[in-house]
Amino acid sequence: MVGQGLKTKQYYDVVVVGSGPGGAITGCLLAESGKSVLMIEEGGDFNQKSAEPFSIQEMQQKYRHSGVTVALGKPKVAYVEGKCVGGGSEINSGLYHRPSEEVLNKWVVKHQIKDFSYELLKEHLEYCEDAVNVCKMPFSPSKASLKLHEGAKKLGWKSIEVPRWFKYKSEILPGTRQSMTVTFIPRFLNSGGELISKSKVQKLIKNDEKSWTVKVLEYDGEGENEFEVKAKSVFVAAGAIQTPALLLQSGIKKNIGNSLKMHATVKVLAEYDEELNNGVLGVPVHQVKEFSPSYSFGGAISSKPFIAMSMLDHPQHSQYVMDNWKKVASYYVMIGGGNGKVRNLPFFSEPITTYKISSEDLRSLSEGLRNLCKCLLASGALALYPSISGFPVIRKTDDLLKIPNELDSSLTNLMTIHLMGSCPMGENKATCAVDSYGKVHDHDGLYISDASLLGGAVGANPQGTIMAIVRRNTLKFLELN
Amino acid sequence: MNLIENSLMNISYVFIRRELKSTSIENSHINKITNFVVLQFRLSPKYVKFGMGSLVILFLTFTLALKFRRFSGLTFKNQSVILESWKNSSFSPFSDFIKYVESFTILALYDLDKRN
Repeated sequence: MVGQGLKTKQYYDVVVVGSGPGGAITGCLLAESGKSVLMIEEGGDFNQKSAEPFSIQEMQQKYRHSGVTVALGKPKVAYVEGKCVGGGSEINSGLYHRPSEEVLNKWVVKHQIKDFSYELLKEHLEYCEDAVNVCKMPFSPSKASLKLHEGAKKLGWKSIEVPRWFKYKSEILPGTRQSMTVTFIPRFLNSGGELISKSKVQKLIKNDEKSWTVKVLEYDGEGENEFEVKAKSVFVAAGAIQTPALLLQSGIKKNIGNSLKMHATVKVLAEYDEELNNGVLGVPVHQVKEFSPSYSFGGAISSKPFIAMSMLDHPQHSQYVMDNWKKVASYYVMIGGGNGKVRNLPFFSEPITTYKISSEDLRSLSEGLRNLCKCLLASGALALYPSISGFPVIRKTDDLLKIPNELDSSLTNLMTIHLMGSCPMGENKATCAVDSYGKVHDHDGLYISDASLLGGAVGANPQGTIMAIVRRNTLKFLELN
Repeated sequence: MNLIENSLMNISYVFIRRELKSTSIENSHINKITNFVVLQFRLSPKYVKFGMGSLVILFLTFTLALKFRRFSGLTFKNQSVILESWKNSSFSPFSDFIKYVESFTILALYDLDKRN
């Protein structure tokens, strides 16, 4: 347990809804500046070692709906959200990317964001990198990671080793992920911030010009308890799905939940002639950025259970692959296209998410899949198994011609862990839910402080971008309040 | 445990048998796997549970109409044939429902295998 689970007041300067990267940094900076802050987390409070990473125990402890969430559409996109103290930072791979200048400039133009550029964001990126110890591994990356790198190098493609927010005690032992429960949340608590978990914020009600009422449902093994708390300001940081859902539930609708973005991925299992998978491989750190921002490649979790699941698309080869699973690793191709919506349904307590991927996006994914397979064959892979139902096994370069120009939307299994952009920030009132610093348009005292703010898909793990933007906005809030 | 959850366990058990072929498995392990599938169902969003529940009822009715027996009373071979036909159905809710149970069964089976 990280927090104390206590609430000592009825009225706070600020209530922060959510304790993921957005909420944790917001709460920490506000508490350190002397504000009274209550952070409310819907999920449970677990320390990092409470479950093995990427295990089914972790799914049940720390994932929303135990990992069973899907954006409806053709194709459907399965996605996961963290639901625990620390949010997504507790369950992701810890791979760090800065946003590209090109992406940020596009957001500025589209959403008319004031005082926003790569140069201006740089100090916040550096601050966050330092706070979560962004660094490269002190030892050689895994064989699975090096395979991807080797393949890219042979083809003359750009491949990079991605740093992670990790701390390493030695050059042998695996490091500790610098998630929110070991970085900003302890700082928040040490500064007098209060954190309660297993408490779902149900509604926000504006009282007058000076305060908000936050209606909360607290639940534990013994039952449920409703209570209210008041605050001068509320920062909603519940993630790109739950933040718009809460605002819609509270009757705040303008440009809320209309522009969800995801990094949809298709996986490919690659079989080699040597063992490269010991079952605790973690996520490979190399990524191929030659075709970015259209698409990029990387490595995925390759534990035996995940390999077995991926092989369900190739049942006739499943037995053979499972007998040789130590020679198999999982990779993905990722696109940033598509647009989704978050909506609340009558009689259902959870929001429903829809996502539309265009033919152009499916063509891009198809081209990406072909190039990923080309890269893996160049790295020495003997057989490739894309996670597309009934798809042929790819064993040689000529087989790449079997990949259609546009993937079949009904057979392609897409998934993502990156969700963002559902309430973009900026002055363009036709597209934006909040102003250039995260204040909800026409609602004083109400702010958004998480991945929802982003102006579009980042094209890489968005946590670094989220943390930097949230710090920028929170410092502005402190300057004005 | 209700009709829907019992049916999910029965379907999950067919996938365990198919995956393990002649390899034996302790009853306690079978229970762990099928309970995991049911727990995943319980933890699903309500709209998923509603959809899945409806599909289970449809699946049971279909089986009864086709074979004049309940799914749990069929031979393993007949159970497998029905599951395979639903999995390969061009009507995506049918195939999604079967893949849902199959995926979580396989995930739990190999997770258990990893621990032992």
